[in-house]
Amino acid sequence: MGIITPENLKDKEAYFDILIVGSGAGGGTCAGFLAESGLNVAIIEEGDYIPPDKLPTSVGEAFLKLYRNAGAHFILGIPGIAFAEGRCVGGSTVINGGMCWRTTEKILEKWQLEEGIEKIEPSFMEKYFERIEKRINVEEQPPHTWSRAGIIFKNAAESLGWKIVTDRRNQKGCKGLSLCMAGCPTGAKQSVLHTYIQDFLKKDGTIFAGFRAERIIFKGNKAVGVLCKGREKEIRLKAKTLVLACGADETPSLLMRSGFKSSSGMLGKNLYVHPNVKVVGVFDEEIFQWRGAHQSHQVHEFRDEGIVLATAGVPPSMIAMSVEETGKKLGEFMESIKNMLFAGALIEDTGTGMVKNIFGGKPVLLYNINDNDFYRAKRSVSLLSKLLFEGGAKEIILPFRNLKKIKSPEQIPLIFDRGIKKTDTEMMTVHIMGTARMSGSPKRGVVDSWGRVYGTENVFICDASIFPSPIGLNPMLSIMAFSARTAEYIAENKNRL
Amino acid sequence: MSIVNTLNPYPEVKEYEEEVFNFIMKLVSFYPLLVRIAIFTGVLFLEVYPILSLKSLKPFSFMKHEKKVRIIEEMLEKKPGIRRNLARALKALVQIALYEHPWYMKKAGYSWAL
Repeated sequence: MGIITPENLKDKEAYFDILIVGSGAGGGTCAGFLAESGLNVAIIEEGDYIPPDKLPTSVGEAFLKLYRNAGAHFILGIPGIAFAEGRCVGGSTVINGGMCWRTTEKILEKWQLEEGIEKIEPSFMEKYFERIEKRINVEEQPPHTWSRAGIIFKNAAESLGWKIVTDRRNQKGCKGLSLCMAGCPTGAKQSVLHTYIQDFLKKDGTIFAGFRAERIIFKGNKAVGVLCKGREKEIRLKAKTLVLACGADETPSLLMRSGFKSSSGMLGKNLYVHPNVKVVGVFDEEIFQWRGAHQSHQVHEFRDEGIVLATAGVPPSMIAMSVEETGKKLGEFMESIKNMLFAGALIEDTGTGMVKNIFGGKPVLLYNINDNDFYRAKRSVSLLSKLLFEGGAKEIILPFRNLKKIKSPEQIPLIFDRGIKKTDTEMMTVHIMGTARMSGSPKRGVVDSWGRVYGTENVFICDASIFPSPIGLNPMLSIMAFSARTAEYIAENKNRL
Repeated sequence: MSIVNTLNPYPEVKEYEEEVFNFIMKLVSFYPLLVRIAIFTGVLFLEVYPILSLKSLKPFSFMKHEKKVRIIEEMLEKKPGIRRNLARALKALVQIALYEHPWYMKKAGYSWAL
């Protein structure tokens, strides 16, 4: 049936073997794998279908076409955290940096040991990672695409003796435009839109694009369909099996507004956000951070502490928002944008928040950073500052309201000395997870070892909400591998579901 | 428009302010209802804030450019709270629109050739 939009919708009802809600790393991959099983599969996606050759050429345009709430998404708490996620066919894989890391053996073993999850030992997961990496063309970022910022970052880390790794990214012939956040107009980024969604469409899959899943229709403990709305149009989609892959905010929200209650009480709880802090280094030399790959390296020296450091090619508007200057002073400051290097840290958080529904079922994310994670946020800023000074920065712009800049390595301890509070700190994230945690026990989890929602016969979850704990790295490949695993399970058990 | 003009880092370049304003309006139309209400209420609050805080006898949009800039700067310096958040939100909106404008991209040398 191809792409069905509210504008070309003809029927009020349709029937499929499997309905997948969401088309990102989880839903898109699941659809791609299930398409090979001969089942009649449909995807419901709230955002629109933008063909790969029509992706935006600027981040501003991308905000309007590809981002949820045009990029204005927040996590409420102390401090408030800015959050961005995709809302288009392909989901956040269309707008992310494309970093591809396998779930570490340590994490898989922890989940197996502590949660009793079956069949996730590294040797079992290997086949999924391998197959996906091949399909989305994961490879080390080639040196000719490294930005000057990436090279400075790498050299400084090596000079400090820190462990630095070259990013593994899903790209084919990256041109180094640093426009990953806009969806990659050259088509080099092998997002789910470019890969599994195209495979799915070639196998006659159906995508309802521009439709929001309003409510799951349950009959006893079985889901029989989904009520969807899109631009004033309504359709009732029925299916034998339902897969939810709307992300760690929308998946629990959809279940909650459909009246489902998890016996563990964990639905919507256990929200992890990988808080990010960022700094901007100002250099004498011209860097032109936007010339070269969005990101080429990560410092993994502090992984045991739950800290990963990296640079990121971001648009000038994001740099302008990172500084306190305003009006004419901001204009003067931005004159030196070509001399700036934007870097950030990802923190593997230990505290949790929650997702709640308000006003007719809209999800709101609540999260307060705990003292331990806040200390590590400050430590991350100190490490980034040390690294950038080592690389030749003459000034570092910090994410703190009451300590805006430091001009030498000797000033780094000020990050810990001054009374910097959580509310004085700017944070952001692009990774949320954990709100429908997987566990071998229905007392601790929302889904079982294969992603099936406890208390239902035929509802599965394929997104980051199933992660029992944060994974400490970019989660795309982990989401995809777990989705492929669940897709395979559904295909193998299609006669029993 | 008055806010765009106040927060424009390049006051000498006025010809793009309307386009910036239009882009902001488009962007805001995609925001959730609660955020739109908050922005609208915030803009109204900003209009009367100089009078309420005894900083001026005129509403915000009738003040001189320098005074308007000072008001926003002061709000940004405040401790975290409604005034600071409002100033930051308005600043962010103007900057997203302005720094994504082709005029700025050209000016800053944003060419993507390797």
